[in-house]
Amino acid sequence: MLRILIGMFAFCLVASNYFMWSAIGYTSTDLFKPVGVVSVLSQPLAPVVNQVLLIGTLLLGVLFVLGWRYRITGPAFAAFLLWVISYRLSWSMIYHSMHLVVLHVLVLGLSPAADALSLDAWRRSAAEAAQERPRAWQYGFPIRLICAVTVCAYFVTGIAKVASPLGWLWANGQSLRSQVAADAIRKELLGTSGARFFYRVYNHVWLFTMMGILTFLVELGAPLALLNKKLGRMWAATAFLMHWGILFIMAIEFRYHLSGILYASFFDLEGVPVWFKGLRARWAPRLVRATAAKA
Amino acid sequence: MSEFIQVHDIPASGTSDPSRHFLSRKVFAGVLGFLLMGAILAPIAQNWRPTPRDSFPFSYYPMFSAKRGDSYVVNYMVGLDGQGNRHTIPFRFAGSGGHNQTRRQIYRLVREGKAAMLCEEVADKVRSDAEPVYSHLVTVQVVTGEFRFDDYFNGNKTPVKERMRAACQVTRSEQAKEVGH
Repeated sequence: MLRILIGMFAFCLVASNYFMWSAIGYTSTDLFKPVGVVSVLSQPLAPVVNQVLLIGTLLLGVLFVLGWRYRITGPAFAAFLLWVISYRLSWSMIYHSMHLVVLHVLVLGLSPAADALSLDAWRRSAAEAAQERPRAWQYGFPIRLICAVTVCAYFVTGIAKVASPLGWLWANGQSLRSQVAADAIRKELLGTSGARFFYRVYNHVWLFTMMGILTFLVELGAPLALLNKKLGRMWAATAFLMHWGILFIMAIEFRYHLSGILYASFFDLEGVPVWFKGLRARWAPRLVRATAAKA
Repeated sequence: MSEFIQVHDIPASGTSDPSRHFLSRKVFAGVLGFLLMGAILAPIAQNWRPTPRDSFPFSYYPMFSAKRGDSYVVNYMVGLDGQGNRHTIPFRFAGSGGHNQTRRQIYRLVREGKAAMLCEEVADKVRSDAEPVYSHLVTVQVVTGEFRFDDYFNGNKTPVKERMRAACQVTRSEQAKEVGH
């Protein structure tokens, strides 16, 4: 389930930005500032090569979601996604909303994430498929690792704020309000819609103080989410709501966070197909009986 | 590659003991996980470096951590019509990589003294743009403005300071002018 959800998000991310990311390949070479794996390049790729890589990523994304020949397509999609997003971010601006989706896909791509609900599972012989696979560590481990990756990233974000010149005063509301104000001004002056609601709340510093404290709790308290399942779910729900609050007040969109898919690993998603299976098992005989009675 | 974490079928026969094989895979996956966590946490050190370097996918996530005063300096483009009225020119005329990336690129070009080049490029795109809203613009300017937050968000959007970095004419053919108007 996690593979399907995260894979679909990653696929949609590339597909919905395909034209913009292709156009980036034509940007002036003066603005090329390679990051991450793209640092191996001293000059940008030919635009057509960039386009081919984007198309390759989309094709591999479909196979990743379907779980076809996953031992090859899983790591390949992760590698392609890492490359195309690194390349997209190699033009003077690193967007921090894409780090976690790539890290999650990397973990999934190197895990046996297509042993169920996949074409690979379907291809297996009927006898093999009939055998219930035990709940083994290799299925739980990547999910725990995804949770750990998520909370570590949040924790690093919190440390950056505490380590900034403002330190713990970052949470006093003034700082956060200034950050959002700067973002809103540049959005307006560069012709994008700013946060209209921000005008209404600008003079209420207490609101930003509350948001600052909540941000510190979510970011610096993130490692606590690994202590037990309940804490993990509570943390995930709080972080999810915080991002919706950020969107509402600041008009800052973190799509992966807002979709909730980022936090899916904290919930027992693998139980969903089992639940559906049970539901089908309970209702199928009743439906058959009802149809027979009608006949 | 996916063999790193993937443990599928443990050979029933052979020289290796299945339980040892299983354990070694488990340890290997654990080490990989540990290394990944280390790579995610390592950028924290950037916070205390004189010139921190951000990267991908391992970042120190500096967003929203910069210290800001009560005003903000920003580079942007404005268009002037025949009557001298000012109009906002959207970022898409200056670059194709989204709002924030184009903003950074504008900043970089202004800092490197290439505002005139940027201005020409923007004027070129304004001239060839089909939208009637830009057809009446005669001049493009690249400017740096400073805005006080309290003024701006309480209705006064006039910059405290504004400096013109470059200005250029939007030259149109007669035919294009007729179509535009």
